[in-house]
Amino acid sequence: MRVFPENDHPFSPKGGIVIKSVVKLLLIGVCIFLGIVLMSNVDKGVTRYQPDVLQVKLRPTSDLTLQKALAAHPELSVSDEAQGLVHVPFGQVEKYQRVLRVDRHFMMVNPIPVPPSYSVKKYLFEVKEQLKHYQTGELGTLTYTSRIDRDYSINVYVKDLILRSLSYLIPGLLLGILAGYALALWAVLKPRAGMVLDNLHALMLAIPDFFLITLLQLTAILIAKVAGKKVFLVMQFASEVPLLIPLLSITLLPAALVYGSMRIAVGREWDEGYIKTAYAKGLSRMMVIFRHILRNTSADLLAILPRTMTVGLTSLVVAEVMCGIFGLGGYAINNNLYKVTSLPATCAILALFAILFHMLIALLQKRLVVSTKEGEA
Amino acid sequence: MQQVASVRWLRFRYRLAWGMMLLLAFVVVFGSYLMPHEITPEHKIALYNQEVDGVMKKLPPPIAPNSEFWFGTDHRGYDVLSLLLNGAKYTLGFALLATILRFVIALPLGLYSGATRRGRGVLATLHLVTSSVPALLFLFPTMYGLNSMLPPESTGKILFALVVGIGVFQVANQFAERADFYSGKLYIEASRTMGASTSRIVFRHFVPHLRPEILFAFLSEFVQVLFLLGQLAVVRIFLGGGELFVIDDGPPLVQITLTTSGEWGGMISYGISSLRSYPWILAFSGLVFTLSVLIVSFFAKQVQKRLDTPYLYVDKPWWRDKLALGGIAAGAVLCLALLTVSLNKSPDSLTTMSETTPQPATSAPQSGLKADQPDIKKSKQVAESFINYLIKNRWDMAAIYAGVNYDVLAKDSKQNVPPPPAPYDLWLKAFTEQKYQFVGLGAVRVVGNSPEIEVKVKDASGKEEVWYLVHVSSGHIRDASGGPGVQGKSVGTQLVSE
Repeated sequence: MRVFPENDHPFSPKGGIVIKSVVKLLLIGVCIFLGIVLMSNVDKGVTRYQPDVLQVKLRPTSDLTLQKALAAHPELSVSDEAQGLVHVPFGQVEKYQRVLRVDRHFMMVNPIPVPPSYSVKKYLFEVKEQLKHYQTGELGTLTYTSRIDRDYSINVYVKDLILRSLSYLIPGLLLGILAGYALALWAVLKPRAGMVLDNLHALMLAIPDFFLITLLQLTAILIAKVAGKKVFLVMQFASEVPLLIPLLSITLLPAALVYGSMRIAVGREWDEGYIKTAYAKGLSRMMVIFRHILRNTSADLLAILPRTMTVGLTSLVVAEVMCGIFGLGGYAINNNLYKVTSLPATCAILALFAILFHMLIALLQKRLVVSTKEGEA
Repeated sequence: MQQVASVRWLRFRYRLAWGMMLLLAFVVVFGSYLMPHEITPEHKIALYNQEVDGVMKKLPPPIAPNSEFWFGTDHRGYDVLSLLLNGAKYTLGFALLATILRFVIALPLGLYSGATRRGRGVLATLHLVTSSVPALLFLFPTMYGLNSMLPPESTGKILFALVVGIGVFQVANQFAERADFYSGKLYIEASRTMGASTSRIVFRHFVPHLRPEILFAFLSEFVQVLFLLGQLAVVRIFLGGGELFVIDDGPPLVQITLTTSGEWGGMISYGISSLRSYPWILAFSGLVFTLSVLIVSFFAKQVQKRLDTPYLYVDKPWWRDKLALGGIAAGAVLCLALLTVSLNKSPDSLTTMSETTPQPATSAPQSGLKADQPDIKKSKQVAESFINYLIKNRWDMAAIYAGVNYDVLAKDSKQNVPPPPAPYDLWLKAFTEQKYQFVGLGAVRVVGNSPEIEVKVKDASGKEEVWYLVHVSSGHIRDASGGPGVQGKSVGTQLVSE
């Protein structure tokens, strides 16, 4: 058994450790959110049009001057009457292009193309704009290929997306953790099975997640062919959402991770003297497992759990894309969608899941300290 | 005895790992020489004989795996195996370069930080930020926006920078921790007391101690980068953007980017979009990708064992081991033979070859052209079938070979076939109305990469004429020259014997 020096023990009851780690996680969460927003807006700094000038042309029937035609928009000013150049607030060319196009005085409203270049000013402006939108609760938009001139807010879908994704993320993760632990126990109790499982574990960790899902989907297709009817749903069709394939794909990799870690932990505890003492005192195998092994390996389990969440989230994105599920991870890769601007927000929500899970683990560690104390007492 | 056997087994696995790693390296380096088919626009296939419910039909690709195309073809008729062989160097090379750059940045950073304890907090925090959520969540939204804004060359560079950047802090932190651990050792303190600089401590003490760990971490990181590339491919972010292709498998039409180089990310991304109808594309692309990951993982594990228990592997040095020397010699001979016998069929090299080395007007067939022999045979079959259908006044069937309006022919009946375009209309007329007779096929010449075939005919008076069918691939004919009363003009440059 590992012996930690008094002060270095990760679950040392010295006050404030849990609060500290929760605060730390919150700060990391903020950093991640900012990181995603800063990175995902990098493309917005590319300028192809002048960011503050529009070229307009009045209708021949209009008898107004450009100055008067723009009277309804006091924030716009004429910079060159002859060429029809209008000065607009920085970064709002697209917005005013839309506004002026429906204005009856104007026949043509176009941005002015410039050679593509990168503008840090525009990038910072766009990041600020995005943060402003988030402040008002607007998470972004979806544009469908069937109607590319109209953007739909994703806010109305977000609840459904979250629920749909969680409906297999949580069961998948729990199942994976339980299966991994149970298999690790089995492998230690039955060394022959253990050898097979060890090899399987090495194989599982070397198979990329997308290929695992491919194999599951091909198996489902094969079963459907043999059975002559659809047994497992491979892709989402309207409201029919596949459950088994995404669930299994989220289960398998966390299970392999937990197995790998717990196989060592359980094996280590199994060789301890106190286990032999417990047997000698007449405890049954079940009692030994539940009273000693489970308790003494819980620290190892909690140490590996954050990684299972990371792996699970990646599998979620991959599974949703491959099964065509309109969930939080895979909705953007959809043939019916033309453009998506809500990706940073939804990726941040997925990151939030991970941070919340990390916090849960930190709290569980606190619970564990108490229970260990009781056990020791 | 059992121990001896297990040590032998251990050594065998170590050698096997090396063998497989070298094989992988061989495929990466010489992949374009091993390609069974070429992947240039001239080798696109329009129609191919395929069995559907027990009936042979001429259908457009993708072609399911068969004896000619072992891994099947994609929507353009390009052989999937050839694409994957050509693409190996791009994907694995990209991953290797990204891993090397990660280490070049992270290792000095981590070791310096560990040795001096400067910036440890920053490194640890950045490590936590980048590793507590999947890298995909950072890269996906970033690349999604950039993909629509920038040309593929620029996005490739940015993707490379991001893949490198996202993993640097993890590696740096890992080695900072290790350096921190060694910093507390007495000999480091002694070295410092004697006036050693930080760089001396890093290079003279840390690096030799950490060498096995660095090697193992490098291999693990390489696998992680490959995994990340696989995940990015799923969300349609990959290196080798190529040509846009519209798939018409029923509404709605799907427009996808097909890789022209066979880069594995591009193949996986494309394979996922057509998984339900053409599963072999993803199955084989995924299999090759997975096999590569397995080989690298297995190698990493065996190397780790070797470094953990070096005493078990004490053996003759490789230059005294006859088996190893034999293997190296055989490998070298194989590489040389491949370089001399086989052509580099990579699309890039073919373009440069045709640009820089003009072909002689007529010359004896070169050994390199032997690979084209079956194609020429097939082309002759295509030409013969085409003429036979013209003689039978069956333009509806001949049109399939002439590459006219495939979609109409595949779906509709004979009545909807459009009339033959020039010059086939005159050819048809000659055989059906002007009593022309087909004598046989003559010489075959090469135009670019596809054959041109002489068609010998006799008019009603018995006078011989020579017409030409140009660009006759195994699938169809692109053009023709000559017609009744008009001798054809040959544009072929190089005579080919069958």
